[in-house]
Amino acid sequence: MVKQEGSSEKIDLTMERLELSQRDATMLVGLFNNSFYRKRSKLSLTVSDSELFTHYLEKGIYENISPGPFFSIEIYTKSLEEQRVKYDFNSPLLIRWLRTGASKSLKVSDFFDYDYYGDRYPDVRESGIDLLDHFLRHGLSEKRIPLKELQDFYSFNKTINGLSDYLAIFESRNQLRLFLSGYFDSRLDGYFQEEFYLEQLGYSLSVTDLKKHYAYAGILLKVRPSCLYNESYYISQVERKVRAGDEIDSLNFSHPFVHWIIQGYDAKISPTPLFAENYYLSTHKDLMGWKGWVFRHYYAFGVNEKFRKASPVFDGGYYSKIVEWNIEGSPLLDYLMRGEAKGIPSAPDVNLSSIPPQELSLSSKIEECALYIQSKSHDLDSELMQSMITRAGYIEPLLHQPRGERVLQVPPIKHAGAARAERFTQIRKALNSYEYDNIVLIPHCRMSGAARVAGVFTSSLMRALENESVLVVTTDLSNFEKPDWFGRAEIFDISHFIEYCGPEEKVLALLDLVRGISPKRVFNINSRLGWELTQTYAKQLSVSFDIFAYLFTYDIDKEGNKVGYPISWLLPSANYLSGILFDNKYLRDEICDRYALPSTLANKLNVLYTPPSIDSAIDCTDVFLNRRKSGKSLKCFWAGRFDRQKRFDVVVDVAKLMPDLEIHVWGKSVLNDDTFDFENLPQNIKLQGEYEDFDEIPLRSFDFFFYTSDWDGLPTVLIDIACSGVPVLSCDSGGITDLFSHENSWLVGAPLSVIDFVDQIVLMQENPDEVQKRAKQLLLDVHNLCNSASYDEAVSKLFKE
Amino acid sequence: MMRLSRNCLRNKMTFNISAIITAHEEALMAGMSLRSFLDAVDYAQNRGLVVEKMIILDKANEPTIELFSEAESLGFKLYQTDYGDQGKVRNFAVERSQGSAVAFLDADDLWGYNWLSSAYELMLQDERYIVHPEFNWFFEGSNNTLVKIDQEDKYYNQEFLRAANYWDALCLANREVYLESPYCERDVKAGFAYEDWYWNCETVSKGYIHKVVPETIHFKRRRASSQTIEASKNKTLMRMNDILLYSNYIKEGSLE
Repeated sequence: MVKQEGSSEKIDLTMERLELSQRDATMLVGLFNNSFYRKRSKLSLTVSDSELFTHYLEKGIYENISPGPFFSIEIYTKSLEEQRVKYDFNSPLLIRWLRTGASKSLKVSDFFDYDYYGDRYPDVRESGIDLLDHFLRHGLSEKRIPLKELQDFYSFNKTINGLSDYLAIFESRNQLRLFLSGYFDSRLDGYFQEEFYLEQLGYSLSVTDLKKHYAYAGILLKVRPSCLYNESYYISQVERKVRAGDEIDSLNFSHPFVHWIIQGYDAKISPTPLFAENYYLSTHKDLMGWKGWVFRHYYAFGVNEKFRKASPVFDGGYYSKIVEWNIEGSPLLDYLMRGEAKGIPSAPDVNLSSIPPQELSLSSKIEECALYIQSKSHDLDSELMQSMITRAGYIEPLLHQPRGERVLQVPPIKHAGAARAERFTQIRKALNSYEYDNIVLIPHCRMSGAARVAGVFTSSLMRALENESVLVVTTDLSNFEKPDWFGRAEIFDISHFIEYCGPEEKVLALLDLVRGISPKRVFNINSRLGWELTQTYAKQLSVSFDIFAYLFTYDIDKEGNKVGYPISWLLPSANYLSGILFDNKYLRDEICDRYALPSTLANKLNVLYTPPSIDSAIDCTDVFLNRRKSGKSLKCFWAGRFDRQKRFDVVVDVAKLMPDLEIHVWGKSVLNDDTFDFENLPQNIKLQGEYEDFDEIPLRSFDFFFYTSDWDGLPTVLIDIACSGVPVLSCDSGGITDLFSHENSWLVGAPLSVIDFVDQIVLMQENPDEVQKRAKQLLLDVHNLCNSASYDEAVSKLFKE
Repeated sequence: MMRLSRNCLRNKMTFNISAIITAHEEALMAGMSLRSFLDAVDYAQNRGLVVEKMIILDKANEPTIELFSEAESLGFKLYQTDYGDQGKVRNFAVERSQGSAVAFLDADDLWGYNWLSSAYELMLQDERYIVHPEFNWFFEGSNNTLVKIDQEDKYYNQEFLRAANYWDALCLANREVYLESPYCERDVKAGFAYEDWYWNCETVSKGYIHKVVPETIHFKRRRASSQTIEASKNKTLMRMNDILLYSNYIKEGSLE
């Protein structure tokens, strides 16, 4: 007997209500199936299983509603009619059948095959018991198989009511047969997605044939065989077709997926809103010659090809590009299983943030988005809308120009501004506060002079405006290697949010941030994006807040032309800047001169000499003389970037000409615009790697600091060296001469010549007392020019004005 | 500004809707807008609405003036202005309108014929409603169809207004709405435009509700020289407003 939960109570209840024998009551309880009866009685899901059974005893049985797949009122009455047996349809036929005895001669179910059952179980046949009686009272619970088509069933579905529940989704044996043959047909190869199936189940299975598992067990669970199956969408499509009078049966009691396999597939109903046939064809001209249903191309091939777009809401190529992992297989599947939950955009013009998360086994945000867009598309297709389009087209024949697939823009979820809006929201939400008085824009914070100046300036700003808040924003890269340089200022990385955006979108994101906060002041310290922002929008932004820019030096391109922020970038913004800050007077004077600035404008240009970073207690002014006295060979050091600007080639050539001079070198390539054979450097060059802190350099081990550069501001490394009392041999480029002169150091003029440097080194060797004298003078000069007090005073003055 | 209509004063009656065409240099194109305008007016009048018909010719060229030369005989009030600024033109029109509701049509666009009656019906439900068509059908320079979102739609997201505009100015609203929230000046020289977008932000901030009228449509010509496209090319911005300011948003997980 089928052992159902509470079956003895049901048997008692049946005996009491229907006055049946225990045997008949047991048969009836065994025949009853909840899901089957729920569909036939059209009772809602809010009716509990026990209420369903009571409903059957009180109403259903009298209305001759079939109780389960193994007793069909329709088949029973047909059998009676075939045998010319009279019956009264107004009395319960199931009770009639029970009382008259089940017999082979009267077929009552499509799902029990007497011949198959008898052949498969000869012991039962030989016992003389009616085979259906045996099956219902014993065979079902013993997991005996009533149909040839179900031979594999129990390998995949071992649940107690599994078989009855399973057959309840079919209307007939023929439907079951068609489903299984259609589902396992090669035309569906590629449709079933194992990974997606397991993800929904949430547990592993011992069976290896997952596709079969779905056919016999999964179909009863709330899981989908493929991400290209959306049940509610399929139902709506069938209903539309039926309403339109197309040749397709309504779903009736069929399981929607069964219906799709048997009818929907041949009727070319795509079961997913993520596939739009016209869109797919118009996007991929190579498919025009595809024979058969193009949806088959998509699920078998296209879904795994990154460049294929099957719907306006998902762009596999775009998605594959912006995720941080490699996608193997279908980008759509990856998106549904990983990307959507992480909020990664599905397409550049899609924003799903206003759509609530969905149960993956039912739908997804992207499917809901596609459904929403399709519902709007259907609205546009209504009779009234079409009549208005026709009327307007009569007035203006150009209404349908340009020709081609009409594209729906559906803000806020699908629109050119959709992804931008989402980005803006993400940036806003990532902030700790919405109110800052000052924003400092920097490109990133790596071990560089500009980053240190940004730190010095930010710290000074916070001292000058102690009651005001400061937000430091990294705009170009996320690196933030030196947070201690920025004191207690808050740091915010916008670059992370705009990494994959085009240049214009990056600017708009920064624009939204600065307008959203609307600070009193914005300072741009070498931020490329900051310059792009002010180049385009400084005029409008200057209405709302003061904008300052910090300049260090221009660049020189390979053709020898000056380029960079002080050249082409400054001009469009300059009129709207409240102040321009420089780390050296040389550049300020050059700009005043170039633009013939009157004093009123020149007053907006301020020089802020960067204070040193090292402890002023260090004094190496005696080292050169002492080392000479002790007869030590000459040893210097060089620190900088191995980039074209910094002329490391000169250092190499000096080393070659002066093999007794030991040169220790700290540095790395940043711009990678110059190449050196580091494997074959002269032996007297000792590469030391990079330094984290200036303190790491054993200053007292060296006779002097060697600095080369073709163009420059006033490098912070030179200020730090000067402050330590180490003698300096340097080029006299750009702002270097603000501090360094022939009185306090050893300078070589442009163009840089190896011989000139060698000559200076020889001179230094020959005049150790002079070396010491100049080093001492440099120490005095640097403290006078570059100190925190002067810097703070200059910063304060900016705001007093 | 010269008032061209000689018989405007006869209209002391209360109009349900003031339907207004704003024209510039559309010339013959404006004839098609006029045709769709008259369709919509007829449709509304057949449903019992009293419609005031108005045309504002702003810095209009001769062919455009010529096209509307017989408009008065069709019952239009005709005004000529010299603003060169759509916002100012609309404000001017509203001040002179006598309808309880005001609806605008640009002289290169077309209304669906049910627009005025359906929009007016929805507007009557709530005085805060500013109503828009469900669809904007673009043509000539684009074959997109814009689906307008209703502010009470489940997917409406106010923050989208920081990134882009949901609605255009071809809406219908109570005349008082326009009087309380006139359009701001276009000032391309100073870098500010998008007065429609700004107006939408302002009205949303003030508590008006932008609604969509189901089964209504406008047909909008996308020309290479449209003002929106020009504004975009010129890198103009919408003026600052409350929608843009972060401080008007609730801070999730705020430390404060």
